[in-house]
Amino acid sequence: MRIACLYVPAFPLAAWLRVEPELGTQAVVIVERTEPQSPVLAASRAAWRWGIGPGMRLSQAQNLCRTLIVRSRNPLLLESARAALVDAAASCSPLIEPAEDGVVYVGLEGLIGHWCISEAQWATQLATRCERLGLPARVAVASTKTAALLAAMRRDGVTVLAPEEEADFLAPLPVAALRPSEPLLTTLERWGIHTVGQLVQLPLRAVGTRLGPEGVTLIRRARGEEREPLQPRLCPVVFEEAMEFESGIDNLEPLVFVLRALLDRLAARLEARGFVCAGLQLRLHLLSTGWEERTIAMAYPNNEVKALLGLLRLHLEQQPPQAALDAVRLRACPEVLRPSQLDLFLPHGPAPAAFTTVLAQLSSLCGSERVGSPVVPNTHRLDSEGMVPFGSATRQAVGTTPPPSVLPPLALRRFRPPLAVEVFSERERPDFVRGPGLGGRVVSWAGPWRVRTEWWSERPYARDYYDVQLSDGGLYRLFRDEEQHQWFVDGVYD
Amino acid sequence: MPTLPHFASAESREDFLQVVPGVQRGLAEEQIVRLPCEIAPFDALLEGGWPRGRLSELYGTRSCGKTTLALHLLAAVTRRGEMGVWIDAANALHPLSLAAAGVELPRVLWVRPRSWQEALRSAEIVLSSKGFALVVLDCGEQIPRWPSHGAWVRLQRAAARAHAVLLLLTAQSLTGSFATLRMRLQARKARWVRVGQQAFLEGLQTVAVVERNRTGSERQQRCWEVGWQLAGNANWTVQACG
Repeated sequence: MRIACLYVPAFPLAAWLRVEPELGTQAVVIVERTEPQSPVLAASRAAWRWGIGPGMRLSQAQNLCRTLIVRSRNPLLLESARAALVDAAASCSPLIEPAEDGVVYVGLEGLIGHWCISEAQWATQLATRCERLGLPARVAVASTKTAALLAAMRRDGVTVLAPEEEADFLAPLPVAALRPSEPLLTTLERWGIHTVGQLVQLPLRAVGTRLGPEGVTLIRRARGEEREPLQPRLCPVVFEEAMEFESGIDNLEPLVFVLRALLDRLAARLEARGFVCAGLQLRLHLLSTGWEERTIAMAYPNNEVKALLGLLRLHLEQQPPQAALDAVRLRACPEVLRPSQLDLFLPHGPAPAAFTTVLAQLSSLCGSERVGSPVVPNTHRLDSEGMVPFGSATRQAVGTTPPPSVLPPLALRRFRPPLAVEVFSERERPDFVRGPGLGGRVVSWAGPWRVRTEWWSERPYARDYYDVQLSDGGLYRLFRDEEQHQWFVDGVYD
Repeated sequence: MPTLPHFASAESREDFLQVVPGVQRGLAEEQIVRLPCEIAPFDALLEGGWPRGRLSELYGTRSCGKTTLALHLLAAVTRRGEMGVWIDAANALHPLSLAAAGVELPRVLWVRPRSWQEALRSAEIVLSSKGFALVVLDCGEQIPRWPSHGAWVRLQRAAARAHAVLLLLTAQSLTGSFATLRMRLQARKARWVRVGQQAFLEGLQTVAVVERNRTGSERQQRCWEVGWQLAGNANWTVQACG
């Protein structure tokens, strides 16, 4: 099987540049801790031009370049970058084996000829997807994992090694590139074996006798006879991005700015895997109390950053954090959006993508609990009503129309909550109604219609309903609540 | 292609063309597509229905029947398989009334904004999706803040792009000259019927006046009656009575 290696050089630096792409052209180094004696783990190209490289002390590097930007190794960013690299690989092949930081092996079994015309085209697509996710990756395709990794480490961009070219490619490489153990490398250097080409010339049996199984494995790897196959793993589908702050944030605007960047990266990852965001989990690390988790439901799954950010902003405005925070994690709940078949005989509704955006925007504007389809619950209560997410109600729900006796004769405009009014009665019939915004003598009336239900519950429903016309011209539906012994106006017929 | 505006009468069209000679060359008259509410007297009054892609206004005092009429229009839209939106700025929509009017509830998007500003913004957002045939903006009886002219222009243009009927439901006229069609409803009397000892609200007699119509004849009026049949299957009956 042909194997591709996805390799991101200077991975800790790449993880930072994914978050701060504007640093790409500047001299940046990554260190374990921002202390003078801390060694440099990775350096940008601009830093290399100043003579700064990995292994150097931070104080030395800062002496060489006064404008050096220093970032410490961030486990949260590394975790997100690792997941993004896996997402890029998983978007191109189901056979993935994540290895060390910044390396993912990908199997090409069954892909070439069906999904892509050639290995080069496939590898270019993979590199482009990595680029889209903010990771400048090199891709190399070869017959073994070792050859693919070495090709990716040695050459920029996309490399495709044909099986017959692999020996020629490996021959000039130093033996150290095969990562032998320190004693073995010393022995080989003592023997005068410096390159892979010299190593493959050695007789296997004799090397086995002198260097043991490790030597045999090394020669096999050098010859392209590697026995270690690709070990595909099922990677968990987790879309999470995180960010730590040097100082606590206690204002909404900077937090929204950070959340926008997190959402941008999440949306790109979701899109690469063919998912849409069906909900968000926001975890805020408060300086005073620790982690605080919040869940934001969505009316309709989508990947529109603007709409998602609107939801988050609305949520944070309604429930602001109680203290300053120094870290934030944002996780998206992925969902596959199934395409729906359009009806041949019905008019087209809104385009799904546009409609998704509209629902998300409306949810962010008014709140997700305020956008949906109306439903009539199956109950005898006349004040029952509900709202379900738009698209979730089926046509069957139309059949739950209440019995004719319950239906209002005209459209009713409800007062929410019902208006408490005073009703003056004469001979057990309403004679005068007085309340906020309405009032007058009862001109005509009908009723009462007694509705008693849910008598088994703690708050039984017992009401006498009346339709009345007042002298102000309004037609109202009144009811007297038997439990509260109070009159209310339920709504006005209009 | 640039189009001529629709003229209320042939005379006004001729007058326009005389004032601006040569305008008609290369210009086609704008075609008005209408959304019927499937109530014959009303569709006749509106010369086919509510104009699509336009801002229309339906207003009247409390208990004049405007909500009933809007629900009938929504029911007609959903029966045809199209979708409608009810922006409930008044927080007054009664789902049971929707069901009673024959509206297919899954085809209705119900938006409950918390403020008048949110209602206007919701209307603009909904109209940006270009898939809804009818957008009802129910303003209620009290408008806390009078919207600027710019708001109506934006909504008018959004409705034109979405090719939807934007129907404003108010207690008083708000849009001025921005509405293409403005109809006022005025309740004449409620009808009650007595069956044995029990009385029932049977219906409502309402006069509808087309106050402004940029796409047809103005100042027409119809009296109509809405109610329900006590005997039989409780179907709504809407008929012209004058």
